[in-house]
Amino acid sequence: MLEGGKISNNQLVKLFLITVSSTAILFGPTISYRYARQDSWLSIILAAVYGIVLISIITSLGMIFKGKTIIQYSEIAVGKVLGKPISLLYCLFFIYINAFVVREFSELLVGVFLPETPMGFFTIAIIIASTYAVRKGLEVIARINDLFFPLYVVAFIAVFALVIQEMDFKNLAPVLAEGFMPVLEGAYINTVWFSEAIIAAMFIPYINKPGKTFKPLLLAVILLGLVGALTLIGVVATFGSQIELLEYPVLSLARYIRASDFLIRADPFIVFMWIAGVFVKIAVFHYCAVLAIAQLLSLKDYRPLVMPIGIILAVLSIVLFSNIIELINQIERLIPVLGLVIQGGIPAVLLIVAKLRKRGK
Amino acid sequence: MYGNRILIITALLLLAIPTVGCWNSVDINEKAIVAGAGIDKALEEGKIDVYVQLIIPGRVQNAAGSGSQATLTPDAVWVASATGNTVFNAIRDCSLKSGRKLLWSHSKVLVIGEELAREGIDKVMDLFERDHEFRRKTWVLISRGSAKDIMEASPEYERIPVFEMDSIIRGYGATSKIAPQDLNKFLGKISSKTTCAFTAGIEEISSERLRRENKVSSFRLSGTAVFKNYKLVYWLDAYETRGLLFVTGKVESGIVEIKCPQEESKTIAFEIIRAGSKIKPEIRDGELVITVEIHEEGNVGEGQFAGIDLTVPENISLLEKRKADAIKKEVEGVIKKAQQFNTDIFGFGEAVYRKYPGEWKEMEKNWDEIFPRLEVQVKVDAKIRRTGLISNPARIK
Repeated sequence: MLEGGKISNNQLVKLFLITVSSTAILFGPTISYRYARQDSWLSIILAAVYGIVLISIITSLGMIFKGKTIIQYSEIAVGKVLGKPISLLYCLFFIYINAFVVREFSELLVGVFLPETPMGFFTIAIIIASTYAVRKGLEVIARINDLFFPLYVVAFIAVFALVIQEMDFKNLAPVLAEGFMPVLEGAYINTVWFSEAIIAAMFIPYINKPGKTFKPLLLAVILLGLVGALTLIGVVATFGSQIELLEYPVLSLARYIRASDFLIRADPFIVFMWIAGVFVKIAVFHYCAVLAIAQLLSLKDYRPLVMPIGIILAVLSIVLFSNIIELINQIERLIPVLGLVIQGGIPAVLLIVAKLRKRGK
Repeated sequence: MYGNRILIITALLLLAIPTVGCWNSVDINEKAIVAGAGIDKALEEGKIDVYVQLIIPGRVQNAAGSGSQATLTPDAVWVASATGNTVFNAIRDCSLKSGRKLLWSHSKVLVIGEELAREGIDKVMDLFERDHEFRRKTWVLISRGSAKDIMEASPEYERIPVFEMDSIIRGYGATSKIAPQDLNKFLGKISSKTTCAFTAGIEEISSERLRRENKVSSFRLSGTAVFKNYKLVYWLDAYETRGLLFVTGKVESGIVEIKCPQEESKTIAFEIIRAGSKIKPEIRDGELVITVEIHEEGNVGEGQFAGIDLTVPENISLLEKRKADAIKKEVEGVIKKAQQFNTDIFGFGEAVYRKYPGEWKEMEKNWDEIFPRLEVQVKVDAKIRRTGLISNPARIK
């Protein structure tokens, strides 16, 4: 057994919520608004339907192949010749997507809070932290997350509650002015919120009650849909069409707060959400990557891989994108496609094949 | 084992010493805190003058300690200035004079000179949105004159001029006669295709008292500057401004005066307790009609011993009608003026878009032709709820 620890369903839900929302809240709204404008919140709800389909696929796979991760059961489902490449693809994907996250992490801190600090400093710092957490195992990551979770929720609510008096909900009208197409396009972009449910396919074997993961995951998807919709309603009501110009609308929202004469800065809420949330996210994907590689190569221990993968992540995050414009362009163009194909499409195919083979037997 | 633990804890505590603080930490006494900034058109063609009001922390403290001596201590601020092609360059040049690096995160007000505003503010606003130190909550004010005079004017009640502006702005609701906008709302309107931006004006004033204290001048907020295509087009006066706020539903409180129906030489004043509005666009036989519905509630605030019996319900309804007419006059005045200058400051276009998104696409292109000839109906519903501690004004019986 590569991973001896167990996490509860509850912890999986919290991990899922923070992993997805930490980056989506900050980078999502502007991209989503470009497509669906004031109906963006509708497109998130629509994307949540896709999220529900995806988690039912992943939990069904977990039920069929008990005690195995997607890396292990892909070759059982479709055979070694196809299964091994699929597993390899996941290993590479976990690293690649994490390179985005690491870069986003450093980019926001350099761009907004500490412009004169070299970016590499943040990258190295977060990779060291993540390497340490991943070496300690899944249980430790989940427990750190338990610690952050209530504070994260409070920070999120505080930011929106403190700025509510500046919101003009008329900005949300008219609904469906341009018909349904823009909402669908927006929903396509917003699938990134839910595609990351794939982490469940790596974690289900390590849950103490593996048979009962669907309901908690469903709750997570619904909560995530609500968080997404609320975020978009909040920023659209505050900024209207100005969102298009804003790099990080939720950050601007926090900076817009002036609740009283002395409570005029809410940036620390965002900095907390960003550093704590993205740390968990980076650790989760870092962990997924090393676990996947260890399982693919049938290693006895994944720990020797943690440091090398960490270094690869740091290097990739710096060399893949030369500036923030490229980063955001690639998030918009690549991530939804990759998400739908790798995180959504492949599990669906695996499930269909597994079901057909079972019937054939 | 125990000794080991102590060693680890000591090592961790020692680690805390070098790890606190940021990469390029600057102590507060090496920074100059900016209270607000002013921008003017420079004498040299195409250049911009920037005035930055810096707080001198020591003097603010002295003033607080010396109590009644406050007015005799020197100003708690110092104005640095520089000229440049871009605002950013000019602001950086200000630190050539201040020595310290400017800290913008507490900046509350941005004043733009009238001359620059008339020429167009498109060249100066970008930085305030782009740079991470500025806040979208900064108030935008337009000087009726140069921004320099406003930045250098003295406060009369507070210690720091910009803080006085800030407290005047935040108390706007008492009169609802100024319509200040922050950067976020101002830029939101200025980048709109059909809605025109507006914000409060600020003017320099001088008085005998100030001269006695060897101060040049003070300032007051007055009127509203209206923009079209980045350019200042015209000013609204105090009552037109309130008319605008009535239409947009932003009136908080204020005093409405009417002549007493029974005794024309006396004026009755009402306090507005709450007010709201609805903008209802409607397309009737292919013609767009906008109905502005205003609901207002208030109390009798002052009666000037006028000869009217306020215990009679009929008299109250008569006064309610008169008050509604007075509000209607303010509102119609500003609508007429806005149509005359073809500036949709009320967001009528946006209201149409919300209700008729399909038809709006055609109208948006021709909004400049539609708006000046638009039929706008104003309906005011004014209520009188209470008459204060007395009912009838005191009279010789």
